[in-house]
Amino acid sequence: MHLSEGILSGPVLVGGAAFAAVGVAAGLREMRDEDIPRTAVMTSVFFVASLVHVPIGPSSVHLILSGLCGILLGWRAFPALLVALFLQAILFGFGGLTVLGVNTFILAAPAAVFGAIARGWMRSHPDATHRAPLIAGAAAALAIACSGLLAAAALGLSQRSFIGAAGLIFAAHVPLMAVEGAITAGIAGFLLRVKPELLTDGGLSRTGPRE
Amino acid sequence: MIARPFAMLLALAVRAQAHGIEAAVVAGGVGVEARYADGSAAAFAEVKLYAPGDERVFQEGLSDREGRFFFKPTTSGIWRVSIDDGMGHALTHDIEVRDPGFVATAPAAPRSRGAELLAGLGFIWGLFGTLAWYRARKRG
Repeated sequence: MHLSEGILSGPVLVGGAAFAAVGVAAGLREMRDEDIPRTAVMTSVFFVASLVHVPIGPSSVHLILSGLCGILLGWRAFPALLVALFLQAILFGFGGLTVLGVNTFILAAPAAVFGAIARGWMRSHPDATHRAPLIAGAAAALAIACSGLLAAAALGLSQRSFIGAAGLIFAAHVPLMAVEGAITAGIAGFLLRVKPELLTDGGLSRTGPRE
Repeated sequence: MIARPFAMLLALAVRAQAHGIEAAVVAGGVGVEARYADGSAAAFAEVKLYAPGDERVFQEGLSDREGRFFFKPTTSGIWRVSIDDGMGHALTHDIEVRDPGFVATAPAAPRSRGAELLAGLGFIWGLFGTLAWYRARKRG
């Protein structure tokens, strides 16, 4: 899901960076002082997750966990993913600096949107704790699928085959959707038992600007 | 994506013939191995090969299951290989062929990411720590 350098056209790079900048600004505006540790922890989780390989059949996929970031951080997923993707680019060689904006938007936008939907559902159904992990897992799987679609769109807008890229990305990410969904559901279930306010009320659920 | 050239060792000379096309196995060539940054092979990626100083495609095909692609250079110079997996990962790699029999090779070395991992986590800690400190100072 990290698009390489030297593939995308100039307008796509600039547009992606602009959209990412808007998201990062929104995330920073909503980040209250007490959100900083959680954002830092999720940045670390996302940064490290890319090195965790899950064997599936003959090949393996590496975790992304963008959906989990979206559920726990909302718009703050943008600054978190920007920092983590920057570090992955310079330290691991994943993606690159010129595609940093596009890659941030591709991963963070679906994460923030599906994260907000999942949080909203969990807030309005505080008693449905047995179904909440399922919702969180589905949001994570959909975030991956949507990120794949955005990646294919970025390639399509750069004079490449959108259908071809979408097919290849989708085929490569179906197993990942299942893995990420299961892991996110598991973590959400655990958090609902030990610290439900992380997912429901308090903390990030009030998404107004910082006082 | 990382690509490293390596020399092909030896091939047995076997001849096969059918319907007027004669095949001979040729020894001595160059292989390129394409791997993703995480070490997994870039299998079945589209590969295009360009001879030195020639814009036309010299060879075109797919990398094998292990992410490798082989060719036999006809002249010395810089041969250019472009590798593209069709889903957003691409790389152009130059291979120096000094004479058709000698290629500067660079075997891929397995990398440990421990130091990079620590550096990244330290960076994140420092960055968000600084942000928290800045916010606290501004308010107090």
